[in-house]
Amino acid sequence: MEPQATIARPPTSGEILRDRLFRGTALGFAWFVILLVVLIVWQIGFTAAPTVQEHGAKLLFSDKWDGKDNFGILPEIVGTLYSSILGVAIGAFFGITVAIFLTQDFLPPTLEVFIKNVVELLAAIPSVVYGLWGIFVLIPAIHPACDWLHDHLGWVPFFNTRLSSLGLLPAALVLAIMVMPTITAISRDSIASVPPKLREASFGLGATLWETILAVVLPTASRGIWGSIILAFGRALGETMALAMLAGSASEIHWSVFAPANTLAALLASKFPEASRPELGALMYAALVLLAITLLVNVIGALITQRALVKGVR
Amino acid sequence: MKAQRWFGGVLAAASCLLCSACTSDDLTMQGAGATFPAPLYKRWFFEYYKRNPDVQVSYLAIGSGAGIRQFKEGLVEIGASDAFEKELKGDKRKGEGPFMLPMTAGSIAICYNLPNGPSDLKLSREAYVDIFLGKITEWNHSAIAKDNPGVTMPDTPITVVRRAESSGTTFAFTNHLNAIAKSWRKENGGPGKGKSVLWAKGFLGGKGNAGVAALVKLTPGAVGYLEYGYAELSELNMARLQNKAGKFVAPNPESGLASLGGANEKKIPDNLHIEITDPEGDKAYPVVTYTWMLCYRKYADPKVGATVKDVLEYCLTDGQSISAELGYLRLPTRVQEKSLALAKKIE
Repeated sequence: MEPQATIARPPTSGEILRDRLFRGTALGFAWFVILLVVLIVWQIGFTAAPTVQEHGAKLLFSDKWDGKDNFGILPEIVGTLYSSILGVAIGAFFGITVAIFLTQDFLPPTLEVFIKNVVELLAAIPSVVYGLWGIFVLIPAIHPACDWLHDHLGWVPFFNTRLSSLGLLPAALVLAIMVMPTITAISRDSIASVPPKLREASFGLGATLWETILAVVLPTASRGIWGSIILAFGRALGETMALAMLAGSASEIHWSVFAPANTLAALLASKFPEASRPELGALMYAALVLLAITLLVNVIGALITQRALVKGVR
Repeated sequence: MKAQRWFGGVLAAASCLLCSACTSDDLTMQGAGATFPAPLYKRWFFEYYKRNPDVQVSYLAIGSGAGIRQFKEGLVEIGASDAFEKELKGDKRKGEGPFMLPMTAGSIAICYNLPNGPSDLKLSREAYVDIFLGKITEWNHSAIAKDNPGVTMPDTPITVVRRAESSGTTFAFTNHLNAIAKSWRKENGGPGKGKSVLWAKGFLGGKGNAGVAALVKLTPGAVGYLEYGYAELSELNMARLQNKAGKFVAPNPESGLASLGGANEKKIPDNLHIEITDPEGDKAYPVVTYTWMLCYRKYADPKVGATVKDVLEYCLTDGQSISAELGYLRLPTRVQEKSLALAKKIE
């Protein structure tokens, strides 16, 4: 019998070339992305430089903005974080709930796919549409409830002002809806990829469905869930149009969720077209701060995900 | 800057390619600036185009501040602003001797949304100053009630709506308040005047005249300031304001003209920087403002210069009759004459 000719052979020079070319192109694009980020930061920093030199870190702690000499952005920083945390908290609650509902065999598979697609469709709606919807549908709808809360629970700091129309709560609610698809999609995937063996083992030990979900499925999927929340938070921080339309553009700090507020992105969006020299620098300064906050959130997010991963392995 | 010009060139070339009727004689010019007179400017340029089909002026309503900036950077032939720029700078490559011409004027209305309230609310000078200072916070405050006898004012809280961005309308409005009330002035701890000022807490910010109109409409108890044309368009209630003579006057074309003409027309400075902060006369509506176009005394391209001159001449003569149609005020005769004389010198 003839010895079988080996199918292994050294790569041809054409293949090597193609491989090199592909690697080179990929590397080039990777560097290009990094270069782009550096360029953007440099450009913003360059425009912001005069403001940074003149005011330094003082702007971070001042709440006065008059467009001439005072460019305090503390209310915008607080507003950005407050609205994002509130929005993501609400969005995460509903998003994760939907994700569980879609993966734990509550529904026939066709219906699951249908609902999943509907939720993901929410992500395709432009944010200006969300803004209009918030103004014309959401605000009139929540107004009576907000008035009731203020009248009966006005001593709670979160409700101690009256909702006029625009405010932090409508903005946060719309944010919640906007980030929900992100949270649902990623959480659903990571919950669905929990090995069935784990669930079965849990049932085998006598755990109920809820005990299994809360004690086995969710902790196992926690890395993906945290990842989805961080991603959603990143989106909420940078969300612009809907917040510019709903938050009320007020440079103020309140505990109350009914008070008007402002965010960094909304500040940029509303003031930029009309801004000239000193104000322009201040807006770029605000943009840098927003960049820094986003970076910080992403780093914290990466750390959390890492810790969750380590725990999961153990 | 170079890149911007290059980009502009490419755009112009592209638009030339797109327009099939393009001959070498056609001229396209770009104007940009204030949003308040935008409907009128667009109409003027359109009417002019109908008369002279080889000249096309497009106008971008991007706001006074941006209009001045683009004019400075030489991106547009004509700029527009609601606020007068004392030290106007232009781009040497576009032309020399930048200056401003008043083109039209308008009233600024105080609009409100008050369910169960009167539709012809009267506001005294003290009342509207204190409302915008954030001192009067409820509609049934005695300062408002005393001028509206026979009406039960509801106890709805007042929500003041102001502009979210720097704006020529804000400048004109605060300029008036600054002139009539000591408490408004900066030295007394007030917000002072400016395109953007430090408002009291709790006010909502709307973007553009349209944004303020929408917010006032949406918020029960809201009050805000709007250019008259926008206020009428959005069918909001407009307050009658007490003028210098002590009379309560509603904003409309007649009261606006009364504020520009008569005794208020006496002093016209050579640079046409006219600010009527507190007009005289029984029929005068108290808050009016001129709005300006920015152009060069001598354009680098003589053909452009001749066209700008022709366009502005049209706007300042035949164009003036369109103003009233769109809710703007035609220039009083003397202002118009002076403006026209300056426009005729453009090269």
